Amino acid sequence: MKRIGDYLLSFKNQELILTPEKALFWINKKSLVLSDIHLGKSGHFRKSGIPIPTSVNDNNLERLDSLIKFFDPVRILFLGDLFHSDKNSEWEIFKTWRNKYSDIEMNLAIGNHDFHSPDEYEAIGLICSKNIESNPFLLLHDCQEINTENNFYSISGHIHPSIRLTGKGKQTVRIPCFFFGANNAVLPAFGNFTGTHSLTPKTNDLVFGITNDQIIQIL
Amino acid sequence: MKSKSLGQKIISDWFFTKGWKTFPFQEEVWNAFLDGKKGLLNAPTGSGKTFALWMPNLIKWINENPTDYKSKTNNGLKVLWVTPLRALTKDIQNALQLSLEDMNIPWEVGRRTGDVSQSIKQKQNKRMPEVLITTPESIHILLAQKKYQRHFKNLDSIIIDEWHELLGSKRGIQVELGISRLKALRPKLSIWGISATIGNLEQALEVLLGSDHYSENSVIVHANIKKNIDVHSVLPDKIENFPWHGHLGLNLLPKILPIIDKNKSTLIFTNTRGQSEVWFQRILDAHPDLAGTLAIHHGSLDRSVRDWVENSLHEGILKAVVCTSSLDLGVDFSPVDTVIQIGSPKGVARFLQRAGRSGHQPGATSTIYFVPTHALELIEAAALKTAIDESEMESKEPILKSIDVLVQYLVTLAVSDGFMPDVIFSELKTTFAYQSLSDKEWDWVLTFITTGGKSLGNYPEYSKVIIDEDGVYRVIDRKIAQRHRMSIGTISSDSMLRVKYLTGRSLGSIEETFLSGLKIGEKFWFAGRNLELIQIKENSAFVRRAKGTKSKVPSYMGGRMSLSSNMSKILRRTMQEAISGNTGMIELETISPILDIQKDWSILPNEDQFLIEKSFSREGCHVFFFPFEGRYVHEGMSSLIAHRISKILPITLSIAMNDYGFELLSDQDIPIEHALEDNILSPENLIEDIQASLNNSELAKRRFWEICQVAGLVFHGFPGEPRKSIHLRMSTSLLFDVFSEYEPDHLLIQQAYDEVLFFQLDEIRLRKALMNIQKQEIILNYTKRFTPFAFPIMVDRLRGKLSSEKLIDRIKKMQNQLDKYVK
Repeated sequence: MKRIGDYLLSFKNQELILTPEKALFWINKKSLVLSDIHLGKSGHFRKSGIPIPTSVNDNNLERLDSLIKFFDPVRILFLGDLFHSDKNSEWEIFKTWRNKYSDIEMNLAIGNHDFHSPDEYEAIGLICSKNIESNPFLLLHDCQEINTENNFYSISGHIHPSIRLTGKGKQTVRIPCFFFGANNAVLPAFGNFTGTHSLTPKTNDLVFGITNDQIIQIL
Repeated sequence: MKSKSLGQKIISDWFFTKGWKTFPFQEEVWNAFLDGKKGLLNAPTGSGKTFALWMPNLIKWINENPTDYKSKTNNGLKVLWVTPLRALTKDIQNALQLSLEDMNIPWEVGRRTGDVSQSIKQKQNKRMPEVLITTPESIHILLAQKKYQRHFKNLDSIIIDEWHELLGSKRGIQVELGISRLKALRPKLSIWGISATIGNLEQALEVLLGSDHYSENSVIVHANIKKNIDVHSVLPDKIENFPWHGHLGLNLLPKILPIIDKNKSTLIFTNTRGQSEVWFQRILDAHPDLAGTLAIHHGSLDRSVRDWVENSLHEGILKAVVCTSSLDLGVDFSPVDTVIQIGSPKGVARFLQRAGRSGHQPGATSTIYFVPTHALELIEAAALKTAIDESEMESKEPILKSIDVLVQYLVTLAVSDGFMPDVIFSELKTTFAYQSLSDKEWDWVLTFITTGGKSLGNYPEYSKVIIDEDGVYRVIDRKIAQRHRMSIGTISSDSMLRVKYLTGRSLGSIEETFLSGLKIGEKFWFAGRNLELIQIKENSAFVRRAKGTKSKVPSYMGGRMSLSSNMSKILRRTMQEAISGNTGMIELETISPILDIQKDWSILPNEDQFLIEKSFSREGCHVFFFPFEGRYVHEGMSSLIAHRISKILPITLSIAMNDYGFELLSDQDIPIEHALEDNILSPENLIEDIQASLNNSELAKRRFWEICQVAGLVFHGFPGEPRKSIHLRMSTSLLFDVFSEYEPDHLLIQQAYDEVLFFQLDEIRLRKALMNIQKQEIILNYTKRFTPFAFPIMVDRLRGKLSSEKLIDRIKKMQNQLDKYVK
């Protein structure tokens, strides 16, 4: 199931594959989980007179295609910020893409950048909700918005996590990462055209760094 | 000799009633101007240069209207006076107004800068004053107005003041572009510049006028005013206790106080805004009596705060002002009799300019004290003393073909009345900056502003400039137009937040990156005050006065300056004098114990030797090189050498530099011995290797940041607007990567590389430096300790990097030190 460069993680009795494409494949549920693609971001910039090529987006969907081909998921969970802004040509591209995979269920946990109404997403075949409960996990966009009383371990996106490493010779490296804390895991941003935010892990946290073609456990 | 015209008579009489005499150079300018010549006046500040170029405008007016020059009003804009600093506009306005009132000429003198109120600007839009004093940016803002041509239909002359300050910068190109448009509207326009002495005055004139007006009919007039300057160095009593590195210079504070005491009024120049805050605070701590008569002045302070300081300086009620380059120019502060320069001024011209701020009256002597901030700067102190006796001045090299400025200019024209490409292209070809712009490049720029460039393809939603049915390039989207007008200019800055008291009084602006790093309740120094952060709301940071000493000082953005090539040449020569023991100068005698240590632990390289030092520490392996060529050349040379070493083996190098040399640092052994056998200091394949090393370094990315701001690819939001525009913000380094990947020949990316070559790597200087090293004997010394030469470089935390290792291998090495990250 696992490719060279992937990382197989057993966590809460579940088998998870972390991929260098910045997505997670949840073997037990045959689900592909990813967050913060920010589709349409380039279009949003173009509308404002800042020229960003669309090819940036093609690459996002191409990476997704190859993950689907390999893992053959029954379900894809988008943890929010699927679309960066209001409708533009990239919405049409995405619609076409969605139709290619009519046999795959797709869910969206609504994020702060998702300006489209749930109805519009539903119309192209995305099931929308605030949270997605799927034992033992609660999947959502921003873990800050979680109700503290519930007993789920949450998996979220939103912050585009990265980790900064330092070494001898005044060297530093900053790479995007998967982050597994005590009550919450954070996925890296899947989108190409996104920045990152540095995290400071605590003891017992698990951190998996992402290089171009390999996941490497940092902590 | 021609008999005097009516105008000349009236002006001469006015001078006479004032008890002044005209200088020969003034009359020379008047005659040339009235003969229809264009030109450049080479004169320092405080020499009467303003009247030299102001009076011929009046003479012409009087001669053309001999009977009604005292009554004719509403004449439209006749004279455009451009100055680099808006702080200067008020003084010029006062000077011009005074002469008009005395002679009963009913001309109006207006100012138009970022500080002028909206209502005044609107009044001007309806009816222009006869004289408008403005900045390069404001000219372009005028060009961005609908029906802008009406403003200029009576324009007779344009005067560019302090042209040497603008030349060699993108603001200078803005002036060139503005003039190219105005020349087309007013073919007989009189164009004059005023410049301090620089190495390339003739070229300065050519750039100013453009190829179509630069001819036999242009002239350079020299004022030939020689200024006496007294240069003193402030020396440490015990060189043993004097730091080997650092830039603050507080060590010598006790020696500064008596200088302030014994003089009437002193300007204390520091090189950064942060440094000025620290000095202000420390002088007050040491000398509380100065409270009320000590002030601070720098570019981040509010206009009203700076105005107060400038006025008080005028009136002579300030004992001292701690300032930055914000007081380099213009404004005549006659009470100032002494200048103190803290740390290296980096160039002879700047040092002289600052010295000239004291003893402003013709014939008076300027007095300047140089305060070294670390040991090696004592050599600079000696070098500066000898430098002022030589007349060789730095040149200001004009910049060529900045695509970002061109993009901005074209959108400016599209925002106002639109433009026809053929017309503008032929105007551009007359400018110095765009004389070599090719058809292909021109097409690229037009495509870029209309469709976003070829990588974008045909996306209807991209809208900036459109081509209407008559072939006119226009912006019709009002939001885009508004956003463009807001961002005209070439001085890029990080997002700024206003610093305000709760009462609403504003102190100035600080970079958002600093303020957002502070917690609520944390204290910091700003505007000479100890402040506590209360809250950040929209575009303001609210503060109150605070007590206590544990306050932070904002670190301001801004590149570090390099020694000018002229200055580094003098420095190298002075260094050789010190090494050969041929001192005789007190500065060199003072530093000799430090040089003895250098000699003891390594060597003092003579003219025929090139020194490399290698040593090991807990950090890894350090290799130091000492070309003494100035920071910029070292920036290029270090990335070149790092690149060549990284081809030998997979290695990650951290690079630091100062004006004397540079350091390569790695966690593993740097095989410099092997590399020297490969002749890594050779000038062969220089261009190829520089290009390759650039691809690996961050220099181009840093340049691209500024280019993006000028070309309008990033937008900071409207003032006062809630910060929702954040989703339009993005890191320019991301843009750099996107463009490099999808359109590698993107002209703005190319420009970033070109600018690195032009401003930083200066290929010609670099090649010369390498050729010179070829003639020298290379001395590789293994040192146990960091030498006086090496230490100041080693402690610098601002570093570049270059790596030929695989990312994964670097991460694996770093994993050994992971404990650090966990809180």
